[in-house]
Amino acid sequence: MVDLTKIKDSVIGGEVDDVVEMVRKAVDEGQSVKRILAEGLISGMGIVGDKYEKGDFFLPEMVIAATAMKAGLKVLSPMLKPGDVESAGTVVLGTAKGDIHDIGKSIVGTMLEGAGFMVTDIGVDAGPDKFVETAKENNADLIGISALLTTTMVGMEDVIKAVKEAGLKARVMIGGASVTQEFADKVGADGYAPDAPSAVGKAKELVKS
Amino acid sequence: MSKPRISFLSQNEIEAIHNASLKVLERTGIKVMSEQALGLLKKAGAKVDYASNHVSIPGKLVEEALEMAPKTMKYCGRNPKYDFVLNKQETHFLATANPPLMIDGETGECRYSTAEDIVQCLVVADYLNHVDLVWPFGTDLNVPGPMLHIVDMYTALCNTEKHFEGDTVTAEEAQYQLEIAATIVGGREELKKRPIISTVICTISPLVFDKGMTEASIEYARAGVPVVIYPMPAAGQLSPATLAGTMVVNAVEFLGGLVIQELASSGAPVVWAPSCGTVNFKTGRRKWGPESSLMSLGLAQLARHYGLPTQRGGLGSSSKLLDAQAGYQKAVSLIPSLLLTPDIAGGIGMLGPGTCLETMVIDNEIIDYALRYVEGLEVNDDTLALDVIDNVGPGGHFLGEKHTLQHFREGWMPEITDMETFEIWEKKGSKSIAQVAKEKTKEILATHKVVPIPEDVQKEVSRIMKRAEAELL
Ligand code: B1M
Repeated sequence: MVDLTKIKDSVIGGEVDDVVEMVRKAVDEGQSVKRILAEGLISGMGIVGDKYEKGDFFLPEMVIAATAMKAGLKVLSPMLKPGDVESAGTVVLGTAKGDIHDIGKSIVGTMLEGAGFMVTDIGVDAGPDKFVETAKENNADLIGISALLTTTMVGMEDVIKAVKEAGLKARVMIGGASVTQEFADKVGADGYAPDAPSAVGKAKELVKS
Repeated sequence: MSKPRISFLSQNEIEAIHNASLKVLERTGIKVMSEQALGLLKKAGAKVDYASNHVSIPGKLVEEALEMAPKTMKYCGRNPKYDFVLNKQETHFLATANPPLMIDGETGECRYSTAEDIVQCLVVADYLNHVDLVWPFGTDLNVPGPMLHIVDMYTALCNTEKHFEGDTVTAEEAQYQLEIAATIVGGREELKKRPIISTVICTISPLVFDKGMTEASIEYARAGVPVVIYPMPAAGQLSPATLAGTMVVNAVEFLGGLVIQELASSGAPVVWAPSCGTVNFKTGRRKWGPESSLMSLGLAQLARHYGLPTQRGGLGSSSKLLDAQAGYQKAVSLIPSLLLTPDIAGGIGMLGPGTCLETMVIDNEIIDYALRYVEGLEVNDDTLALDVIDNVGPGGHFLGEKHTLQHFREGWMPEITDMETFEIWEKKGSKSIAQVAKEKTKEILATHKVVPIPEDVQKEVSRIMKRAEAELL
């Protein structure tokens, strides 16, 4: 029997191949898919998140652990039933239309994953339709928009309008170097965060409320 | 004159970086999102896959582009007294600022910049003796996105007679910017001879060329107006964690961009801004530490090897205030930067999160100091001054010597730096440098008048602005 704590440790160590192999084996052995996910993958990522917060881990460790976690999740996903995934929330994340800055967005995504969120990253240069469609598909709790240019910041307002028009339940959080709380209030975003750790806090708050 | 200079990479190391870059361009290749650029590359013999936007560039094309690229070029101002030549002999200073936020040097308040801030920065830049060219200082949030880079240029050209180096992210923006500049200098041919503008084109590390920016750069190349290719890899984030690997990624992106420029128009003027970052792996932000200077200095040596002009960071700082950190970071980064004589060095007016008007005045003084330092010293019979030493002999002083009278004004004189005794400083109001700088900026703003664009030309330019609005909004 594959020891689920070994899967967890391999997620923490970012051993992508080991995670995939052990998850496959555990599935073949007939272990509970829900438990493999919770006790192996998600709990591993949770520890990575804690270690980051304590200052033991840095971004490269977070990113590679998230890659390992997602590789394991990919093996499980055909078998997962709704309700199996007990995540902190579902997030659709992207960079605003016309903007190709993606580092901050990707870091926010990784940190959200570390905190147990299921994140769909729609990449850069994303318009309102893309956000709304993906949020619908994933039944998202939260839409996250990143913009670094003043020219593209303004486009975030269009996404917020489109989300409201489509009647989605998802709340909208925005961020990026040029964005401030003042601006977020002006365009009617539900939340703003100045950096990735506070984005996680804000996301938790918004998903609950 | 003996000038302190450094070159720390050996010829072998420079060649190793060059050869590695050629290998990456051919083996790994680059991704070019513009079909127009792909067409140029394909026609010239590069291996192009339109479906994936992937291009493999053979070394031969790079060597040809290096041949075609001009080794010196003119940067001009609206007023010809501000023209200069990039010829690797002298450094010219760029007010880089840091939009869209504005920091008050005295109170530390940080907020979005306004149209008024931008004009004030331009007026101060127009006044300061070490500012040779300017970037956009701020962003007026009331300007709609598609017009921003055109308005940036228009505002700058109206409020300073010095060269403007702007941003351009689409071909349409490029066309309007070029039209405005041409109207001011008296036509397209004249603009080619006296480019009063240039533009910064960023590559997207690692190894990607954006559609809009690439097509904008092609417009500039065809107009014969300088393009600054500005790759910004960051070690361990957008390039390998090792410094040499990051330098290779930077060089590959520059050379890829250079090939596109020279294919678009043989002889197109191109400047290399080899910006290399290092990363705070806790937050993912850049940290512009000592390694950034090392990488960029190393690449400046490679640029020298190619004979091409460079633009580099100069007075960098991540400080949130006009404080000791701002001062030491700027000074410590500027001096080594000047030791390789970049053609252009930036950073005037910038602090970590934004632009600071008062900082511009202080940066001007830091540059003054640093320039004197890199000017070096002269050793000859007159400067060895044996007769003068003999004349004074042991004991006594040199104050009354004719030789002293002839030379004492050569020494560096501060303009705003305090070097007084405590009592005098106290008597003058016990002012911090931030207060002194603030007073200086107020004085400049009250007294300095920028010569405006002639009225008839101004009318013509306004018509172009209207047309741009009608088309782009
Ligand atoms: C959903 O909820 C949330 C919550 C929090 C969120 C969030 C979302 N998203 C981010 N956060 C927050 O958490 C993150 C982690 O702590 C943080 O994310 P950040 O993204 O802020 O921080 C990252 C971890 C690190 N930061 C970064 O990666 C950005 C750094 C700076 C230097 C920067 C970079 C690196 C780049 N650039 Co660009 N670039 C600048 C930036 C200057 C700056 N002060 O930020 C900025 C943004 N750029 C600018 C410009 C002008 C441009 N850039 C351009 C290009 C590039 C590069 C490609 C070279 C590169 C991007 C590489 C990439 N793959 O992303 C061009 C535009 C391209 C385009 N169409 O988008 C170009 C136009 C330059 C040109 N002439 O080509 C400026 C914008 C000015 C303005 N008026 O808006 C700029 C502020 C620099 C400046 N002062 O001039 C927080 O903001």
